[in-house]
Amino acid sequence: MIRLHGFRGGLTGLPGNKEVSTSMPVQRLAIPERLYLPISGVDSLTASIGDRVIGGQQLTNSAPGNSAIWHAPVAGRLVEVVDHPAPHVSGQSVPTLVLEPDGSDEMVDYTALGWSGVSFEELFAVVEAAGIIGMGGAGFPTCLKLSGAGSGMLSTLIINGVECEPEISCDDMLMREQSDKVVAATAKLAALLQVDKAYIAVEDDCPQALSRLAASIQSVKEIAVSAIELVKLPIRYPSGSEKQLIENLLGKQVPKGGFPSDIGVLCLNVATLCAVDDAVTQGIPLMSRIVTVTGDAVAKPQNRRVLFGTAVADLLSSCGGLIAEVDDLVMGGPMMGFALSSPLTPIVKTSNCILVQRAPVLGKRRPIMPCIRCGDCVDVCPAGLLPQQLYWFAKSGEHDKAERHNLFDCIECGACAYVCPSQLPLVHYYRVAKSEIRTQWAQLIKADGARERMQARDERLERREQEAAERRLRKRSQRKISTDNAEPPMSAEVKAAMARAKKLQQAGASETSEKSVLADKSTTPTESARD
Amino acid sequence: MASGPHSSPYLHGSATVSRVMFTVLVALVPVVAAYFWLWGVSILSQLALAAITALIAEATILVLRKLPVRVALLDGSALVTALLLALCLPPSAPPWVVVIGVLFAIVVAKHLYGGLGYNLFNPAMAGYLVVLIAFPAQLTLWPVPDMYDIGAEAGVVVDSTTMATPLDRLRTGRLQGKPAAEAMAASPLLGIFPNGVTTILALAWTAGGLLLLATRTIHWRIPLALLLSLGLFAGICGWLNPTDHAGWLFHLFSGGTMAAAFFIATDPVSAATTPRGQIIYAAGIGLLIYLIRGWGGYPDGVAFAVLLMNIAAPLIDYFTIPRAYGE
Repeated sequence: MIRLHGFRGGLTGLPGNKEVSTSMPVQRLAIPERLYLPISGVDSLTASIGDRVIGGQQLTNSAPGNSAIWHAPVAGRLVEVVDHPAPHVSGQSVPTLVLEPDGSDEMVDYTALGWSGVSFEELFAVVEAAGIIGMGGAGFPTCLKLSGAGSGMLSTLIINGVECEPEISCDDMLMREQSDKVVAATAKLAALLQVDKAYIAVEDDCPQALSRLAASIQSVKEIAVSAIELVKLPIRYPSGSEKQLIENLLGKQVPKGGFPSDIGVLCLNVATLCAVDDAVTQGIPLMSRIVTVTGDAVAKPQNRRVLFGTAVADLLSSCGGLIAEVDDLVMGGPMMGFALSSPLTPIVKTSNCILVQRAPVLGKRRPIMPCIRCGDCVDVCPAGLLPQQLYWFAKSGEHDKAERHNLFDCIECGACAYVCPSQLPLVHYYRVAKSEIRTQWAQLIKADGARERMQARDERLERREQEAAERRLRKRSQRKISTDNAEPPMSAEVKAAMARAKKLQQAGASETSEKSVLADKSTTPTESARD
Repeated sequence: MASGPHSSPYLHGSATVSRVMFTVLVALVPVVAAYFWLWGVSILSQLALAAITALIAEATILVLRKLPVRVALLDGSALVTALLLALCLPPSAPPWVVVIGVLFAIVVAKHLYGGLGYNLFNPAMAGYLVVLIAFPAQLTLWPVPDMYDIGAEAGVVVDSTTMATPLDRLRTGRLQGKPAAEAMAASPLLGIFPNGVTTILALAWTAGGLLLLATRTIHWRIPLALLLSLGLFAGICGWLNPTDHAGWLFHLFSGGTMAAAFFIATDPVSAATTPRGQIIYAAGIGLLIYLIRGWGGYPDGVAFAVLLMNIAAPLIDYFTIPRAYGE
């Protein structure tokens, strides 16, 4: 049995409300009239607008290793690319591919390698081609997680079934209904990665999932190659956050700016694991997910298997629709979710929950007071930050100080804002500050590029002028030699040009060093922004 | 910002600023009870005067600053400042001293620095220091409690209605070249403790402080570090030179030590805010209290010590940023 190490900060006693949405089995949602698939600027379409596509057909290409590609969830016609509200905290509209299903169930003829036939390198390719990203919320490309370490370089596999946020129950339902699949996939993946130990972590408030998984481990163990341990975690938010889960299970922290693979760990959300299993055993790409629809403003709270691109409005009406006035449609849980700008916003790979609560609960908040620096936020911050200081710096635009206080280590879990006696929307301040700093970095990089080009141009012009001057000088001296054979006098013009050139060289040298300092200062962000 | 953006989290705990402040007010009940028991009803009128002055001053300034009055008055912070200040003054302090102290605390120390959450100095201590420096005669002599046997203290009582505090006696004795033991010997009730009155008050402050700890209104870091630091320095000095220095128990139960440890130094706005910083901050206050008591110009050094460390708090915070996850 594993001895839990705990993690820093966190909250206990949050109202879970999970039973609200777990009374009905997961049902498939009927195919809606239109599916909206948001595409980013770098994606390119692999089919043309107006084309008919079939289920499972790849629709977009993306940058290598990104694996954020879309597959047609069902057969239908690609209608258009329009600006459509995106499932993002900013609520902005992005170019979105619109697919009109035609009711046919025609599908791609999938080919599968199977767990026994797949190598580690092939697994990477399979996962990338299936468009699998982390389904627990962050959406990190799963193939990048796998690329962190080759086969045999990982020591621990953690399957994350810890749904620590209140209200959300989609992973709970998945584990209840498909425990055999979860356990078998864990065993196969653990064997393929040659890890020493595999854990399936589940929080204490999922007794059914826990008992089913335990039973599955007993029955699957005959064929399992590696030892799987089911870990029951005490209820504490945010114990399902990847970094906190690793700290809790292993007593080790993921290095700042690093990845779990740096300490030999691969941590996959349980839904992500099932998506990998589908891709390996059946060759099916990721096209749908289980979504929790809950809150006291929806008629029939439940979990649904939803095709990607389904509008939230379609999902809500399938659950009996709204029965009360709401201020916000929240995508995600009550701690980390965000308000949608439109009910037409689509469900995407990371959408685990749609939360609708009666207006007074969400809307009527106590007055915001000044920060009294009580430090309650420090005690609950799982990242070990000083939320009250970050708030000052974010509010006053002191970005350098915010960075020095590790703003970018904030995981936006909302524990600080939950306990804040002044009701400050702390996470909102951090999000704004982070995006402002990212914009500054982008400008800095742009300015850097512009300065380099300008400098190169200046140097080129100076060089030409100098060469021209030298040519003139040579010609004149040749003439002079031919006439009086005397030492060629240097014209004032040439002297000035050479002095300028010398000065420029020195200036150029100092500027280069300045630039390298700037580059050092923002190593990680610079690189990620360049990507 | 009236209601803020609709941004996560959509769940919120039950903590509010006014709950914090009113818990502090409730925790003052043992102290008020002790004053009432010792000196009778006069303390109640003093507290009422301070409270009314504070609320009127707060409301006036809020109107002048064009800020919402109701929310700020209801947060209880002005009441906390006023009552803490009033409980630092002798029950015999003239009403105008109370009014001047509270006005300075609310108007200058709190609102001229930006109001709740922005004040650099602890307002109650700033107000107290202004009246202490301006009116030392009214502030250094405490009335003999009604129930107290004047005869037992006859040798040291200045007149029939007021008496010097143990810290006063210690300092006067030191200036006159008398050993510390002589001042301490005048403590009839508890021997090495300062004297009956001061000990009762210290225990009342401690009781209130334990209530604050139990309700998690304050963290243990500041009181513990302050008491350990003061006790340690007092213990070392008393051990090295028992003639001139009273013991550590004497200092822990004298003057404003317990009030400072649980109610004054723990004011979050003016204290250091990082966990390590709070320990350094409170230990600094403990050390400064001892230095001022032992070698300074005033018998007690709590207010000076707190204000001096208030100045240092931002610097302490700057150098004590905690290690983030994964660092």
